[in-house]
Amino acid sequence: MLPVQEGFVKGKLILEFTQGTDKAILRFFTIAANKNIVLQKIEHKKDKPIRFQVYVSDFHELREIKRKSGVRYRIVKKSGLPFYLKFLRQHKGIACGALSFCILLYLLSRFLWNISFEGNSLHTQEELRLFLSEIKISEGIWLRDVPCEEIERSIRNEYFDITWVSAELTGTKLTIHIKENYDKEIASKESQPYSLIAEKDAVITSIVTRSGTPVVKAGDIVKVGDILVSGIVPTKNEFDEELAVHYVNADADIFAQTTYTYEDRIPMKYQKKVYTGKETKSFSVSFLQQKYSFFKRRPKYEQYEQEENITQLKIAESFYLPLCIGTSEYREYEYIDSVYSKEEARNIAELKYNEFLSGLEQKGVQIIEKNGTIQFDDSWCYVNAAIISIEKIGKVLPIDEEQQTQPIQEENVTTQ
Amino acid sequence: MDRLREHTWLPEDLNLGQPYFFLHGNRELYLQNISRATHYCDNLIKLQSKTMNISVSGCKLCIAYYRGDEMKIVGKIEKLELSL
Repeated sequence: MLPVQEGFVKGKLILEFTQGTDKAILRFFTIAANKNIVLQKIEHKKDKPIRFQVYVSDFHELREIKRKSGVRYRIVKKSGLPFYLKFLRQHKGIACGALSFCILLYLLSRFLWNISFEGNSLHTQEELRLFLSEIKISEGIWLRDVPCEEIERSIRNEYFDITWVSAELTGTKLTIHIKENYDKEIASKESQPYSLIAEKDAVITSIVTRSGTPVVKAGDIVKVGDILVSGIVPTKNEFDEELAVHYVNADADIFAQTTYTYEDRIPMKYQKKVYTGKETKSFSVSFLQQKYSFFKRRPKYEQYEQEENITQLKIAESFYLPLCIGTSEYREYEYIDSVYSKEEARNIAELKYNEFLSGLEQKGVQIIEKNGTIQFDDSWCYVNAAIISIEKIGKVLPIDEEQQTQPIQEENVTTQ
Repeated sequence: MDRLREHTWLPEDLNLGQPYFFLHGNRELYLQNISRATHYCDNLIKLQSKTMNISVSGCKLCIAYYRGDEMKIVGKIEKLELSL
């Protein structure tokens, strides 16, 4: 045990000499040292009496030595566990309170109090949370009743566009990491053979077929519904006669040039929201999903905006408690008729246009050319743009039984 | 004792009665085989062992612990004098 811990456990007394010559005091030290009593931190500051420190267990033996050497001392300070325990015995309420707090904290740590999601953008937190509550996973359940593997399996089965899920349980927090797939839905029906068809008009730029019979090649112009890669693979002999037909799941990387048309119009006249400066605040505490509000004054405004900030208390990074503290702010506003200037309307139009473009890029569309115009009249701001891009195309079309009996027919595609 | 040590190849640190000093910089002094202290104040500590007198001078000297024949002195040690 470290000396500090040993001193705390055994208990220490700081004593100060009140009577005795220097010779008597040194005799006292010598006799005590010879009796294997540990004397610590012997200090003699200027114009102050000598002080020293001793363990509680050795204090009783000092009485005889005190009598022999003819000195007197007094206790200046007591510290350590024996004195804390004596204090607690005299103040049982504090001890009970501290013990109850520890027990309550331990009990709270056995439940799940926080669920968070990371990596989701196509699906909102509320949607995923609602799904979890359907499979009986919510705040307030026992930690041992949280089956991470089952949660992962359920989410993967429910949402086809979520390709990877990981449920992590640390402390009282469940974090679900998600990876969503922006690519087209492919291979979700493995039990039935399928072909790949075009879901929009495009010009094929490259095609790499891994399975199936390619019907188009680079440079071909395709329309919506045209078969790109067929799931019907005929086997022919040396005389080009069909011997057998196999039905497979068509698989290919097909990139094509597509055109997006962007049109938008923004009204020049609008109603501007202006805050009057009047606001009201209230506080709330929620415990175990029961909310209690304090200082809540119902706002007497005709139109107001409410902003609520809720913070869930936590002891450590992953040790959340079922206690939330919130503040609500109510701000009064009114609408005033306003007109956008040309500059303002242009900025809004460009912002919306850029958001549209970044949405396309997030889906894996590579933009190679964009042409846009902004026009104004008295009432509206018009935005028109044509975006030429290259993206992956190919939508799954199951081969039904009827089709399976018909031979392959090449589509009448136009080439460039 | 020294002659006996020479002839029997006894280890050098088997010096019965001789005090031991372990000085760590000028901040800590650890002593063994001390009989008693003869003077103590915050700038001078005089000790006695079986074979010699030891005088430690400095400022803000404090005895960190004293037990049996062991002692540890902390503070700013300026001089250590030994006399027979």
